[in-house]
Amino acid sequence: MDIPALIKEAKQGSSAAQKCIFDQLADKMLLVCRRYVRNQEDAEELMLDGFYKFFKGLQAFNYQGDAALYAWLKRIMINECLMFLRKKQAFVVVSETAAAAIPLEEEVLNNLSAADIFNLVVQLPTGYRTVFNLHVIEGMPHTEIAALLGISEGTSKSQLSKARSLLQKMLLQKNITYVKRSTQ
Amino acid sequence: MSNEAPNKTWISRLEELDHVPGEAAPNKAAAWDRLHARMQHNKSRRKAAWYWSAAACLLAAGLLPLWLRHTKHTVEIRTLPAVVYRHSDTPATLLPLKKPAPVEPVQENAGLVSTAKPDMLSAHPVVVPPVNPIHLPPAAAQDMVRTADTMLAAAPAAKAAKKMRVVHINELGAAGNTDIVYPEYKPFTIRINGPTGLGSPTIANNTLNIRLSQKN
Repeated sequence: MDIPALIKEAKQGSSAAQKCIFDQLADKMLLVCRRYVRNQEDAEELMLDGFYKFFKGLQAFNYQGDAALYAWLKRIMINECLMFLRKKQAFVVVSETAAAAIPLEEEVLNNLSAADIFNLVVQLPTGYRTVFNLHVIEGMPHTEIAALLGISEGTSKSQLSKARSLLQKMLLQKNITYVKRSTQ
Repeated sequence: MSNEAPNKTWISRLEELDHVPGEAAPNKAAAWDRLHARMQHNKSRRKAAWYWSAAACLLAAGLLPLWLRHTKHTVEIRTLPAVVYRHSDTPATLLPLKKPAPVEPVQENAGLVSTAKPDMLSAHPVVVPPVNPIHLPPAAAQDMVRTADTMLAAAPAAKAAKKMRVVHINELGAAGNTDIVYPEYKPFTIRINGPTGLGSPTIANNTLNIRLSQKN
C-alpha cells in the first residue's frame, strides 16, 4: 500500500495503517534522534514520542508528497530531541562571540563512509553537535538556531566554528590512522 | 568550499543510512507495541474522562431537584412574615375588655385607654401592638416578654421593667368593687401622755379602715 492511502487510513484510526507507516519510517527517525541524543534508549523513547505526536496530529496533516511527510516527521523528531536536551540542560551554551569561520574539509568527509561520518558527528559534545546538526545537516540559519536554543546568533556561530574545528582534528586523526593502516 | 555552502554529498549519504552503524537494528515490533499501548491507554483515558463527566452531569441532574426543593423550603422559612399581632392576640385583650368598665372612678385616667371600639380594633391587624406595655400590669408585661420574638415587640417590653405602679382600668372590674385597700396604709394610733393617764388623748387614729378610691 502506498503512503497516501496509508495516511488516509491512519487518519481514520486504522492501527494497521499506522503500524505500516511506523515500520517504514521508524529506522530513519531513530537515526535522526540518535544524531542529537547519544543514548540509544533515550533516542528510542524520543522517537516513540515523536510518532505519538505525529499520529495525534495526523488529522491536521495535508499530504503533499513523501518528502513533505518525511520533513514534517523529521521536524517533530528534532523538536522532541531539542526539548529533551533543554529539559536535561545537556548543553549549557556560554555566550561567545563569533569565532573565525573554520573551513571544513568537505573532500575528506566525502571520502568517508556514511557510518564514519555518523560516528564522527555523534562524538561531538552536545552543544557543538546540536548546532552542527541544525546548521550543516538540517540547513537552518543561525537566527533560527539561536531562537530554538535560546542563545545569541554569535554563540551559535561560535559553537559551529568549534564543532568544525573539532571535526577537523577528528578527521585528521582518522586520516592518520587510515594512512597508518594503509601503509602497514 | 565555504562554511555556509557545504557539499551535500556526505549529508545525503548520512541521511541514507538505514540504521545506527555498529549497533543492532532496533526491535521495531516491540517499539510499535509500546507506542500502540500508549495510544490505546490515552484513548481509554479519554473515554474514562467522558464517562466520568457524564456521570457527574447525571448526578448533578439528579440532585438539582432536591437542591431546588431544599432551597425553596429554606426560602419559605426565611420569608415567613414577622409575627403580626392582632388586637385579639395582644395581652390587652386577654384582660376582661369585653365588659366596659364603669368610667366614673377613672375619669382622670380615661386618656390612657384607647377609645376605639374593640370590634374596630380587631378588624384591622397591625404589626406593632397598640397597647403600651407601660400601662399593663407586670404579669401582662412578662407575658409579652415571653412571647416577644420580634424587635418591634421586644422594645416596648423592655420598657416595662420600669417600676411604675400601673393599674389598668380593666383590672378594676365592676364599679362596686373598685375599692382597693393599699397595704401601705396600715392602721395606726398615736396617743400622748396626759393627766388622765398614758395615752388617753388620741390625736390621730388610722384604724378607720380607710378605703381609697382608685388612684394611680
